[in-house]
Amino acid sequence: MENWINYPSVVLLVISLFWLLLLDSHRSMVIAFSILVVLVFTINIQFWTFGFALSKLLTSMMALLIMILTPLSGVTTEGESTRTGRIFRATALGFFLLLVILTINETSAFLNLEIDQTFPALSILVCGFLLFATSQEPFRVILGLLTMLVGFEIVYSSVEQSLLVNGLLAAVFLFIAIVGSYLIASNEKGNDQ
Amino acid sequence: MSAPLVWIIIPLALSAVMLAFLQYPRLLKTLGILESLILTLIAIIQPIGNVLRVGSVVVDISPEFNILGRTLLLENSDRFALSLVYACLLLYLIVMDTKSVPAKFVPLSISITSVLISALAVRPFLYAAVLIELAVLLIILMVREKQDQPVSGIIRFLIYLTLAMPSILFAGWLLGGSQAEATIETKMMSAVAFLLFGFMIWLAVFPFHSWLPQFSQAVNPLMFSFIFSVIPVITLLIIMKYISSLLWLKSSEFLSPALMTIGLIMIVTTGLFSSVEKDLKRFLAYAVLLETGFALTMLSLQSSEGVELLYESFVPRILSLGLFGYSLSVLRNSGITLSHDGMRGMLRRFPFATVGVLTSLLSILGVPIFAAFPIRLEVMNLLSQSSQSNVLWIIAGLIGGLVGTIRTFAQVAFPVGEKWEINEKISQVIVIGIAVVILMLMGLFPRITTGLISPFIAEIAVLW
Repeated sequence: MENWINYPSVVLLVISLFWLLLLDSHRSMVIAFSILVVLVFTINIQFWTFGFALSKLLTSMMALLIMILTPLSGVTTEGESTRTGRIFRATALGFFLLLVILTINETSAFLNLEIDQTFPALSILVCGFLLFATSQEPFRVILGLLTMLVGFEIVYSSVEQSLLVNGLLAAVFLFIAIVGSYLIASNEKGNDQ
Repeated sequence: MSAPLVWIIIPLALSAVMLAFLQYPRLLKTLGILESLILTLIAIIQPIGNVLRVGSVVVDISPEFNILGRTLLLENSDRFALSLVYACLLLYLIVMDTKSVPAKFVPLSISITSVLISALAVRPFLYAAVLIELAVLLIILMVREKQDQPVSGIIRFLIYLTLAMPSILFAGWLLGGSQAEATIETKMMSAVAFLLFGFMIWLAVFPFHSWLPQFSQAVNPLMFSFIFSVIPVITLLIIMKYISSLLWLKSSEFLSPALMTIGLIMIVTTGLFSSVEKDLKRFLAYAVLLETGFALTMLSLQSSEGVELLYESFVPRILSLGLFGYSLSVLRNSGITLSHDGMRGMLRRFPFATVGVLTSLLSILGVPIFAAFPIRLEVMNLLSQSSQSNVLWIIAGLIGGLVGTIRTFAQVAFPVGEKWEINEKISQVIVIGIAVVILMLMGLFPRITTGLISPFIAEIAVLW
């Protein structure tokens, strides 16, 4: 890695990814996601301009806020995951992280990025995939999509600096949160009925 | 005034204003019909780049509109798509029943259409991925009707279509002369893989098709048929432009066989699935998949005949899917379960809606005297010149679809009670009757379809 300071960040990031994937409570997932985007900000700020990195952080935080403010989404849970389910998710994430580590040099060379950016980006991407692939609950799925996009943006915004593309991506990010909150709210009201 | 302003920005702005009048569905419907009618007529009559004269007012319609350093470009070759998409919107707004379809359908359908047109117009093309994602998000706001509506199909739709966006953006970056140090060949192959993945998801190509039947089960059939009358047409055109702009891809040896194989797999698997399907809403999704399969086969011909056929096929496709969706929504609004069990004996209770369903199915399958027949026949004729086995695969797929249709017919024609009734409203009878007659006329007189697209042919041929 380029900077020693990124080692603790990456360790914390991996912990927050496991936390995000394994816990059922929406509140815990929101906290894990917040930690995740702050850690991503600390990494991005070393490679991007402060304003650009901050705009990504703010977009993520706003999206999260939209999700949190959804009526009924704060306290409910999907239902207890089985122990087997958790073991499966943890093992899957573990295997994917291993795959990322084993191919990190080639991937970084291909993307022409530092390992400090590539490793968090790919780890977050696979965690996002696992989140929405292993759940049917709207909250987890939407958070999974947002997580995947956070990972994608680390790579994509490093290679494509166009303001319009990044602005549109930010709009999509926020719009996904709005649509997600719309689905969550109506779904939970429907369940109540 | 520029063309993107007329067909994208103004409709978008108007749809935003319309959102403030959701408590007046009839007013919204009238405004929507007027707006889409005007836009369709301008697209048909007015060549882009010429001046538009309305009385003493003279408006110069230029093809370009610049926004934040990027360009929206609508040329004469796009006029067919503009006319088709806005005419499709017009049809759906005319037949929309304000009591059963939520008022938000009007502004959202207009904004979805404008965003999709902007995806077709944007330069460079990679921005289309983001714009299509925005359209998808608007679609979700549109299709969510009731709180007890199952969301799993809608969520699958969101997940899959969201996966397509990063994939296409990334491919765009790889193709755009990035600073990556990988070899050119590795870059190109990676770009093709990402592009292919993104396009396959956009078109719900096998094996990424499972979300489509789930989505069709979750939403109003009329909205579903509107969405999948418009999205595949626009995405196919974007894909054509994308590939046309990449000369190495266009001239590569694997493109035609790949498109052909994917198209044939779609036709055969759709036939197989529909032969055992009992849910008519899922049948609607299979109809979309079958049409996409044929569209890919037409593209695989890589000739102007193939492209003309593709453009001709859009008209019966939109009409057949529209009739299918409309007939299903008539039955659904009357409390009928849209499955074989629920539809048992419906020919005697809802004769027009049932005939509408059967006619649209027969038309999509290309049965003689219906609209798609001349096109299916011509595709098979062109394919037989290179490989007869491909024609056999297509026939196998169509036979599968026909088996499913005959099974549906057996259920709806099952004699439950002696009496024949007409439970449809007179307006519904008129709409279904007109659509059935048009589909039959287009089958009997194929020149009607050719005549519809002939004014645009000169521009179309250069696309591929």
